[in-house]
Amino acid sequence: MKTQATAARIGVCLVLAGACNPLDLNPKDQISDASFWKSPDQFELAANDFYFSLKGPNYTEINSDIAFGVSGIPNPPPDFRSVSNGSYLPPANSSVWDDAYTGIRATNYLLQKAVESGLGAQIDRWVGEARFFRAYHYWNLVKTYGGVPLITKVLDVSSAEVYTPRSTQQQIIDFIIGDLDTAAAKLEKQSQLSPAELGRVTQGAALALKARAALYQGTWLKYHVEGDPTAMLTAAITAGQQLIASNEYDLYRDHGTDSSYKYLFILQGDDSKEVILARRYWAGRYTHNWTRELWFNYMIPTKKLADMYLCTDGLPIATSPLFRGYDSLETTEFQNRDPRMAMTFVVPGSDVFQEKGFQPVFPGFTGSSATRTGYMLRKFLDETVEATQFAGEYDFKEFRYGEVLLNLAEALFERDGTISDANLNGTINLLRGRVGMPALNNAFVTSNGLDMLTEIRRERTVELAFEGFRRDDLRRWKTADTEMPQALRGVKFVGTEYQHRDSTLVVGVDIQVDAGGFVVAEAAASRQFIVPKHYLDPIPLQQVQLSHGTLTQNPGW
Amino acid sequence: MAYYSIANPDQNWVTRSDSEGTHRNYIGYIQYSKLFADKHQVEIMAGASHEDSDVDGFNAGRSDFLNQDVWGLGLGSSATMSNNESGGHWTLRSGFSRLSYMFKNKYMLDANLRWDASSRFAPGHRWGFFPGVAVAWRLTEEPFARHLLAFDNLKLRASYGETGNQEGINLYDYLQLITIGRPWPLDRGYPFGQGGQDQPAFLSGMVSKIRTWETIATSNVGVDATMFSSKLDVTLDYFIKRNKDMLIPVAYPSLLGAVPPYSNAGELKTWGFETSLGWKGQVAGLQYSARVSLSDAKNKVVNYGGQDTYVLGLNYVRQGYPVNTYFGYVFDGLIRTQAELDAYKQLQGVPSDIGIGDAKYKDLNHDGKISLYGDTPGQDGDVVNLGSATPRFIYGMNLNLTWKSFDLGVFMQGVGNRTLIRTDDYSMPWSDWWRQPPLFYYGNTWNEDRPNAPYPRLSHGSIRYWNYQPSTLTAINAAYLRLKNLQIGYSLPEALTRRAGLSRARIYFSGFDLWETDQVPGGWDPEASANGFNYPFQRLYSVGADITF
Repeated sequence: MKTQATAARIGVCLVLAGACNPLDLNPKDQISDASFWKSPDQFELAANDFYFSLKGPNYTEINSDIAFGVSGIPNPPPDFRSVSNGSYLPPANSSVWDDAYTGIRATNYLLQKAVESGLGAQIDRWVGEARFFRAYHYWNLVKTYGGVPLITKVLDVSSAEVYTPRSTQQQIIDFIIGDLDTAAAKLEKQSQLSPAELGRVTQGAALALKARAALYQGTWLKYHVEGDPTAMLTAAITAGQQLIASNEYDLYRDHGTDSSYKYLFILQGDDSKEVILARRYWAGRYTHNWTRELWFNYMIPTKKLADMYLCTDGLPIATSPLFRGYDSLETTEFQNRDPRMAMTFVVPGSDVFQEKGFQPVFPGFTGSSATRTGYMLRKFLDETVEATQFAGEYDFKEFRYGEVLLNLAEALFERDGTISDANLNGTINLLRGRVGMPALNNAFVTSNGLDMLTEIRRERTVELAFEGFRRDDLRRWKTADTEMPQALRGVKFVGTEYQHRDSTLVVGVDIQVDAGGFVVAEAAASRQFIVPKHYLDPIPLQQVQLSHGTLTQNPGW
Repeated sequence: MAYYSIANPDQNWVTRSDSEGTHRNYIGYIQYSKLFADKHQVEIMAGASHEDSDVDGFNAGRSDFLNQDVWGLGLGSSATMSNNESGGHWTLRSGFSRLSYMFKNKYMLDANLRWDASSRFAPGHRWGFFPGVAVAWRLTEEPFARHLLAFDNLKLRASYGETGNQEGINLYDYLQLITIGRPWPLDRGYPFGQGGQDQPAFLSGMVSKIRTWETIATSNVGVDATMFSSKLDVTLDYFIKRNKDMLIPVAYPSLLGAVPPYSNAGELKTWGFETSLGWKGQVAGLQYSARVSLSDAKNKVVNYGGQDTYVLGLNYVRQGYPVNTYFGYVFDGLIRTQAELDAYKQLQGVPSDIGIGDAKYKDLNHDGKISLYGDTPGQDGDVVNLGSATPRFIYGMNLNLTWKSFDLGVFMQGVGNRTLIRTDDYSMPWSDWWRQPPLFYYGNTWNEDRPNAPYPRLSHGSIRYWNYQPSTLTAINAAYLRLKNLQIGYSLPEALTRRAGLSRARIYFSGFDLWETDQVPGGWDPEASANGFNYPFQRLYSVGADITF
């Protein structure tokens, strides 16, 4: 009994003396927030995280009238074609909304820590990057939803601002421009980046986004008759001119007029002078599979885009004598056209790089190259073996000099009602010159019965095809309600080589055509664009439900 | 063109990893026990414990080895080499004490106390106190028990106890941490420059400084009885379990910009009963024993502490409902005529590519649209409660017979009530165009030749998401009864075994999961997971011999 008691007493003492570990433990492989944010290097690491939210290869264009989407797109929303035909239902939640506010919180956090750290100008650059990305996230929100709640500080679960009501679209755009102006002052110029920093946000990127956002809002105000657009358009013009005057960027021309435009978008164009900001990829780091996906024709062009390309004389196909029509050979409509057509579309019989090298491809309606419109996309198809094996490393160039030129030309015309030949030569004609197309000038427009605004918009749509701008453009020009409900059509099938090649297809049963014999991929009767509903996306339903009534839904939803 | 090719068949890689863990547990206690005056049995115990764990891991890897015979890490390319280490540790300290008192073997009292502290909680929220008490009364020891001749043993018991739970709390939960480096596939950082591997730093998630132990308080009353010379034994328990301070995810608007931490804001109440009845006896040469057991529990999220919100399909928590409740639409049949189609398309919220042969759902709140949420708070839109994935009425039956040298054992179990909705790949035919639909859809989907088929028409388009969303059509009744175990044995006669020098030999046939009955379509086991991604359940047949030397 006595020994038992003694042993027990020793046992208790051992326990109470405790072993080495107290109850206050710190992690072994993570830094605590309290010990971070002390040196510029740490701010740089935090800024690095923002870059993962840059847009990579995407299928946004299928929401517009120049592209047609096909089932099988990786990670599509269940209604991948329903945005285009106006049948989409409001979702309970949306990653556009959620990811933007997550990104906004991260940038607000860096900005708050920057002030608290007292490091001042040493971290100016990272503060500039945070401001850029905050503007970028608000840009993605405002062009999707219109005005959204403006969150400018870090929130926690007890903050009242979690229930902020929506600001107006103009307020958000003004905020974006404010952030970008501050950012531009703090960021480096493109030429000042060291080789290891290539790909970071620069002054040019801030100006490019500012011009884009200001043009969007300026034209929105003008065409939706919601206010005076002059201030916005002037801001866009100023930003564009500043960017051009900086001489930091230029168009990519390394491969001559018949292939520079093509190579710009794939591996050869990476880190070229035209790229202002791109989502970067690199072998052994992070790669994508876009070339392979595009082979399956997940995203294909429609007749509307095909008909937009001018003929080599600078005239549209309706008036140009050089246009060869649609009949007989599959290649007829591609002849004598703007060289960008052959670099955006796969001309039947032309070579496409596949795993075994270049092989001629004939788009058709059956077999491995089946396309619903008869057209196939060439733009963004890379020509390396790696890109065909899930290891594509060409960047997605969201901000490029070509777009800056287009934005400037459009902003000048929209503000002043005219655009001088000198300004055309400094913008649109540079793009025309890159592909060897004749210049656009006022005399040409007048003598051929063209309309300058139509030509500016045509040049934009053709140059930026499949980069994700079309639907936003139609909405800000307020032409979406006439353009979007039109049928999505394709090549001429009846009586052409397309029909000869796919002779087993029965017109009216296997394939639908219109009165002229052109393929109808989606009939006008199945498409709708309701005004004002479809001009903005619906706020996600669960967000409205959680907002205690402070979030008002967009009209019509 | 081949659909798939192997991504870079020449690539190779080696990873070496090493990990070390230490777990220490020290317990000490003292105990005192004494019988006073031959009637009072008293026991007191008090003690303390300290437990900790420490884990460290390290790994390194390289790829692109030129030679595939020797795999030393240094022989790989340094261009894509990687290395990393990780580790964690935690500590738990407790004090405990128990008092037991028994009077003449008929009145029993047990009381215990427990204090626990965990390193996972912030200072000030570490310690939890968890008491408990149990009483029992053995009626058959009472003087009046002589009237209860049928009972050999009858005991009433009641108890109340609390325990602490820290499941789901991370090791350094209350510290706001920064993580360097995103997980795969972004683990190589962002490639600035010519193949840079610039690492990102980001907040590891929102942190709560006030989280603490979940307290689970269980109250129980029960009866144990043995009757008729121990031929019949009965146990009956009724319990109420309350998980106070339940850690639950609380939904906030996405404007918050981060996933909010689970908070101790919830309360889950579970209540139910368990009963078991056993009978054994002997008739002629046949010995038998049988047991039947049944249990059922209902639960309800009493307090969710946050917004009342829900999603279509499985909801882990929603205030006022059991855990894992399904919400879905009410299926109203298929659209069979053009007139029905035109009428149905008048409703909002109906996809525009809907056609004849597609599903109709009821507009329960008559607001002219098929919607998940109602327009006013408290309104549930057009969805109803489709049942819970938590099983109800779990029962089991056990039968053992012995006759001469043969013995037979049967065990059956089942679940009376459970709802399940298939998710992911098998939730609909043609979930992706390359995937074979499950067999039970064949011949059962609508087309012009089968207008009375139960399932909507086949489609590769987005309408299939409408047709197969959670609803009374896709909700499965996952109740089942299963023959879990059957065993038939024969013991060799003693004469034979003795001659062989064995003391006992028995041969048997045994089978597991031999048979079940259920209403789950598709051939999946009723206990399979919702996404159907299981290896098929196996029936096991075996024969064997028990030999004792």
